[in-house]
Amino acid sequence: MATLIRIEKVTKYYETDSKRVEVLKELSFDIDEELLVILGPSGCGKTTLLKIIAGIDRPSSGKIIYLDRYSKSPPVFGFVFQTPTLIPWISVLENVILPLEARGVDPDEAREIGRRYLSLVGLSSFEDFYPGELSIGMMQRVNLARALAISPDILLMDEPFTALDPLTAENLRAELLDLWISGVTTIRSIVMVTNAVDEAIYMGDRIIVLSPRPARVVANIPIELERPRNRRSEEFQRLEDMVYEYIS
Amino acid sequence: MAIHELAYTLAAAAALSLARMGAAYILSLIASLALGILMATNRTAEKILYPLIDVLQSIPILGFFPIAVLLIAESLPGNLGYELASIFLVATSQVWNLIFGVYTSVKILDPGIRELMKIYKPTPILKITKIYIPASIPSIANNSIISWASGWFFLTSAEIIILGSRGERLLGLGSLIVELSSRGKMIEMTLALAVLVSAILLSYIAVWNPIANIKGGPQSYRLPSWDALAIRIMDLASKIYRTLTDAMLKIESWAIRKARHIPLRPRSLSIAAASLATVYLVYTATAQGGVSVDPEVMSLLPQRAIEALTGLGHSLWRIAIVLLLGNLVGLYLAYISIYRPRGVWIPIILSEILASFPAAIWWGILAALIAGGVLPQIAVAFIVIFQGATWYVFFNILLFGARNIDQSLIELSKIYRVRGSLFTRKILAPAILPSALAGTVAAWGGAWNSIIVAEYMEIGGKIYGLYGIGYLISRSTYSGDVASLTIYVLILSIFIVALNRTFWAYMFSVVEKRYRSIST
Repeated sequence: MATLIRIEKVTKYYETDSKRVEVLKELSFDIDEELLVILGPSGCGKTTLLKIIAGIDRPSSGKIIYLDRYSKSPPVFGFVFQTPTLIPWISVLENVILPLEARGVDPDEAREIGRRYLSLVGLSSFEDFYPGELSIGMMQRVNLARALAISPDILLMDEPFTALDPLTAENLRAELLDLWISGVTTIRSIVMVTNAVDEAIYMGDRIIVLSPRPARVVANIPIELERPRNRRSEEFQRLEDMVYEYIS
Repeated sequence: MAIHELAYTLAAAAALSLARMGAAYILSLIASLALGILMATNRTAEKILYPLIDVLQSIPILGFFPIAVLLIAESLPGNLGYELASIFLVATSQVWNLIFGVYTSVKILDPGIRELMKIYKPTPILKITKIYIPASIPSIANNSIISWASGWFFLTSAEIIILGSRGERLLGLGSLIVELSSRGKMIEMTLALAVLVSAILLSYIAVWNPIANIKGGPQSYRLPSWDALAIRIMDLASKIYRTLTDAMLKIESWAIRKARHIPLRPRSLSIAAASLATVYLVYTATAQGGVSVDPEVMSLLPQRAIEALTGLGHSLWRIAIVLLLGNLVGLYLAYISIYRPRGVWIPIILSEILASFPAAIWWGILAALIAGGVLPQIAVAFIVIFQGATWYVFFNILLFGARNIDQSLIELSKIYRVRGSLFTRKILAPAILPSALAGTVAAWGGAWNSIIVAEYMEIGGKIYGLYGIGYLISRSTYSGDVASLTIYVLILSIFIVALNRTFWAYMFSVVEKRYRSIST
């Protein structure tokens, strides 16, 4: 299994009025071809870490090293925001194809791709709707379709299910896992940030547990349960107890 | 003038001008809180005051001269009257956007807070002091930047109060610079200009920018500022506010306890206040109406009206060009502010200084260029209108539009590398459209005010005139022709209000419809 990104001693702090707030403290881990879950309490800097991985924020010290075939040009990232983050004044389809347009894809082609991914997330009949006309669950699917439409190498997800009601969240989790396992997408690696222990065990191939702020890596736990995973199984429960140990 | 004498005059002029600006601002603040809250919470007051303030807003500062001179200045002894008149005139250029800012803040109050009020039924004073005023603070903090600039811009007009043979030149930076320029004292004028620019710069860096940064609500970039003084001012203000609030609350609860059988009805109180205001205005109108009953004036009416209409035509296209240009520059500045937030302080400081630069001073500087044939007079007129009007567009775009743009959309565009024209078309332009439109409408009003100084200026005995409604208004004011002045101002106001109610109302409804359809 190839390592795609190496995070090396990444530290991040913010300075405000002579006060220094440390957010991340010397984080080091690899991102392989896997579904990697970063688990940590709220406010510990998980979102900042994702942004640093995506290259839109810089670490105060330390390095992000792109490996494998990305050593020359960085991987294409898809990003699923915590809240849908759709542009309210353009249609659902236009929202999905915006990143494609930004990459210079021909508009007709972009629309075709956009429709394909909208139907993949089950929204094919909603392309002309405006975001405000959708339910929050549907908006989150558009968010996902947009992230998939640019054929990303790596999908970064920032607590993608927190804004949803439990039922919708569970459905979307299953759909995402289906997409991931069936290999219909171009994604080689998913990095998902969450603060829910059972979600982390249910979805992840591996869990990186972070401490409260400033975040450090406190555990690196491979999850070798068979999929589909059963939350009530003894194994699952045992893992859950173990992860809670690290968190508390 | 000896050096120490000049230094003394400059210091005195600067202190006096700043004092007038400050006094006018406090007056404007109190008026805007009272009127804005009243309008937003009382239907009757809203119906009467909203259109009234809309009309008053469109009246150029010279249109307030008769009230300032006849009602305020001449009714009080000595210079005191003229000082008050000057403060009143400065306030007429500061107050309007503050009123509408407070009104909108209270009007769009979070529905959750409205529910809260329904459940817990706070007393009127409690509602005003703990909910309405705090809710208006961000809007006041941001709008003060515009009001302060507007005050400086008309400062010269407010310090040289001349209505025909009556009038007074008050010592101040505005009047001093105009005087030095007309006497051809270039070195002294340059020094005075430097003092003016320093006063403007200092007041923004040390007071208004920090206040807007700290109290102005969510924002994507900070205005250039030095915070120490402003923090002290705000501490003092909040101490005074708390003391006043506590005192009023004590009085209110005492009154409620003592007089349970005479319920304090805020509605009847506010209606009383509104009728008082109306009575005052009617009285003001009749005080001057005495002139217009003159049969001579009636016979002049048709001719004056035709003059006014042709003047309007001339001025209209000048303003249209300026507004269009202003929006293009504003969009560009907004783009820069997002992609180079580190450099955004440069256009902000420049706009603050330029917006504050009194119109008459442009003429003082540029008159030499006109005389030398370097610059056509119309170019100067354009500069003055541009500078007197477009800062409404810039500030609305930079302070409200671009600074409050949804950060997650910016992040989105960074992650997916949405830049350049795609970003401008899909994200930036639509995001700032509402504030650009609000700014354009305000600039539209401001442009009609600045046209009076753009189309007519007297420097060193020479009159630079450019035919238009502004020219007509200025000429009639300075020759003391109150009757013609009234007719011109009336026709101009009717025209502006008519366009506000039709064209601009239509534009607003289009934008609102588009934005409402997406936010439901």
